[in-house]
Amino acid sequence: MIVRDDDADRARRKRNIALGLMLGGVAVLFYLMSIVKWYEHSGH
Amino acid sequence: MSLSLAYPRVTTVGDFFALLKPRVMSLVVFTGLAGIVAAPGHVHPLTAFTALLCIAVAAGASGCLNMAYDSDIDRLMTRTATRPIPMGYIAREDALAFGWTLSIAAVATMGLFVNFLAAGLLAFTVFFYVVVYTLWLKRRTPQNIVIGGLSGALPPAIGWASVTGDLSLAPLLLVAIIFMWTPPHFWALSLWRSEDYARAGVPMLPVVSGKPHTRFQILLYTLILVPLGVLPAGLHIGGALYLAASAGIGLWFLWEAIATYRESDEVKEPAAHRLFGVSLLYMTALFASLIAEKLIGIPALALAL
Repeated sequence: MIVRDDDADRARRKRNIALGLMLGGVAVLFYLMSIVKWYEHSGH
Repeated sequence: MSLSLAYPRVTTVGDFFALLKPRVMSLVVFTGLAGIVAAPGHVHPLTAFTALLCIAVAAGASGCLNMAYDSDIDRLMTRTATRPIPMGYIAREDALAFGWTLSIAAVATMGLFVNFLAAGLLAFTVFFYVVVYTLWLKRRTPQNIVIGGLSGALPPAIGWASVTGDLSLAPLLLVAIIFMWTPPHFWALSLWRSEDYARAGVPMLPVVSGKPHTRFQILLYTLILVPLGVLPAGLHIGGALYLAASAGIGLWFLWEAIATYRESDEVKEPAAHRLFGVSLLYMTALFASLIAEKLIGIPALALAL
């Protein structure tokens, strides 16, 4: 089976964007959850 | 310019998403959400979201690992031959790395931000599905889905534990309901997929003990399931809506189980198809009514107490 270079590049770019969004989402979630935990532990 | 690759086409984001078994994941998320909503007490909405996300990711990761370890038999069955690994879109080793990474990340996040009991239950669920069910039981015994069904039954308890930090009779009852629901649900499917399973050498009940015995077992489990499904309405967990849904659709479930028991068309298996559909409706209705009652404010009943 033949796969063209530009198709492979486009698919790779989409995979990288998806991975970046996923890791970015996890980073934001961790940041917000650390605020929630800090808030809860500070007696509020 | 073009080049030949070992894979039939480039790997897409959708292929990785398909590895997570999104339809199974949605049912797991749904029952986990019911556990969170039905549990007494209160957690920050972001904590509840994180718990649900961890349940979803761990369920997806379990599905991914199941596809990786079962890729040899998946290519032999019609239902599973078009999955990403048998199709050659994703290498088995990549799926293993993806699945284990997501599993560890989900359990670690649950432990870090929710609580250790919920994280422990989540880790146990992944272990049970991947190691006990997929690697050990699935190819060895017709009781594979009965015992392995425990992993699919645990999400309400994980959701509950993520709110309360402990377990009680209520979440364990919800676990018992899904546990008893799993055999009739999957055996209905296996009645019209038995040739598929036989070809792959998977000892599903119709392959090992025959269809009449499977129909009898379906009826037996349904006879236990239906009263068990009503029980939360008597133990201060479900309200009037839950009672109506569990009793009404439960009787329909039983009706179709009897029809499946008396089925004579062993080629098309129309009753088993209907039973499979009703089983999905039953599970959805039970947990949707629990969630709806909590959100609307319908009080729980305590008929037996």
